[in-house]
Amino acid sequence: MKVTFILLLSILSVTTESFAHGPSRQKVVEKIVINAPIEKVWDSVKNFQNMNWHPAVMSTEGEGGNSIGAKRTLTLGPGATIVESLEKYIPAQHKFFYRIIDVDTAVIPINNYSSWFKLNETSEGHTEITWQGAFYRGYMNNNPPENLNDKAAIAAVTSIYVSGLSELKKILEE
Amino acid sequence: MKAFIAGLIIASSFNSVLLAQPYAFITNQGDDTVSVIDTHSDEVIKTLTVASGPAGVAVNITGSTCFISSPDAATISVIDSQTLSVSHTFTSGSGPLGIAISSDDKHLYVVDWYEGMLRIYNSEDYQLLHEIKVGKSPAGIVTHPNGQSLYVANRDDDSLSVIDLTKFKVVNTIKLGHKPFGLALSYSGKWLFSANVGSDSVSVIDTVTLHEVIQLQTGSSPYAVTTSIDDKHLIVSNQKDDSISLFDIGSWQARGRIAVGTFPEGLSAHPDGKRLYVSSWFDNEVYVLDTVEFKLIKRIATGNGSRAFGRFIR
Repeated sequence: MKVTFILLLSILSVTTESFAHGPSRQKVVEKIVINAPIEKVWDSVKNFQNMNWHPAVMSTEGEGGNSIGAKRTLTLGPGATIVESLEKYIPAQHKFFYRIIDVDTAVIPINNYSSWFKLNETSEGHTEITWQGAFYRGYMNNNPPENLNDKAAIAAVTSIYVSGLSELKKILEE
Repeated sequence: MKAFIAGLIIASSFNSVLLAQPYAFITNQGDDTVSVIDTHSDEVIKTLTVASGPAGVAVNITGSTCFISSPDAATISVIDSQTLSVSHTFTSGSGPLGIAISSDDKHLYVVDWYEGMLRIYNSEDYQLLHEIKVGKSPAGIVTHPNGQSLYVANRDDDSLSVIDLTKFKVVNTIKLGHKPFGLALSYSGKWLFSANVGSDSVSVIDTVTLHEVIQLQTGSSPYAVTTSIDDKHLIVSNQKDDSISLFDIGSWQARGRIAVGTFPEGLSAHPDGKRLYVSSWFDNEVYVLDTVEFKLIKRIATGNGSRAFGRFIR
């Protein structure tokens, strides 16, 4: 009886402990300046159905073109896919907004991700790309394992942004 | 001449009362701070460090105290408006989020996101007085001006819990739109509004019949709702549309949208009846909107991840 009681107490305290932290939405903003005119940069990123410029993306398949609600599936590797939908598309301002509608946290340790991809002309006539995302970590409850915590989510998104933007710079400045 | 001087003195002291503008307390979830904006100058006059991940806010009726919920730390921070300092911090459940004050300033209401629990505290000594089970993932809470009812939006149940504050129990549960988050009541107490994140709409509830009279289409992912001081307009922050929607109360006609920065979230109307303050979670700013002209008049830099979920100006 005593043992049971102590066990019960320790379970209760673990439960309380496991509720100690709640998920807060996280954000990442990465920018890069590309020595190329804005229309040239826009031409290489404006097609929502082709994200193959990103070094991590093997192929893009989808439907709906660049219309609101268009879908695309990015394949990163065998069995590793991300399904995204286009929410806003404003070519006059060289920007679009999309969200991930399906991804396994083993592929990217995030939930409820949305992102703006924006181009701006600099005063020197170059192009600044801003890629910014809002998301929750992979593990939505408390006390996440290390690979699914806030830090892991931020690191994963940052790495996708940095590698994609530096690849674009390389391609477009060649 | 004497009368003229007396008039001047009266005018100047009257003026100083008028100039004592309220503060806006903005929770910055990403850097564990609260930005205090003096709404006279519309500048941040102080930044206070509070417990980890502050989200919810409730300024009491007299404006003397501001309560801040930190779901990450599972605490409530109490800010003294006179000294602009944190006077007390106490533990509340596992993830306190929505927070509000009673119409007589005596009770503090806090809902717990993880536990689906409403907690009622004495607002002076922070003693826990009641625990009332509500729905799943409760977020917004609001009190009826008559002091008898409290409403809770249960985000993951698509429902509203109606709590009788004389009996301290849930007396009704009704259906709202998908994923209701922020709540507001008209100043008259006649209408209750919920921002339904999942259905891009606002449910309009008659507080007497508890029936939904209409569901208004908003921009993408509405987060918070409030009304203008004169009860003429309903104001909604559209998180993923980077805009504020306006509707006429009663006719429920859409008045249009005002473009603001990225992820607009918390909303509070200024008591002058002319200004509205909106926090931007992504851009770390607060926008001051002119609600007479329906336009953006100022942007104020705050801290990282400004949420300001609740009544942050009195």
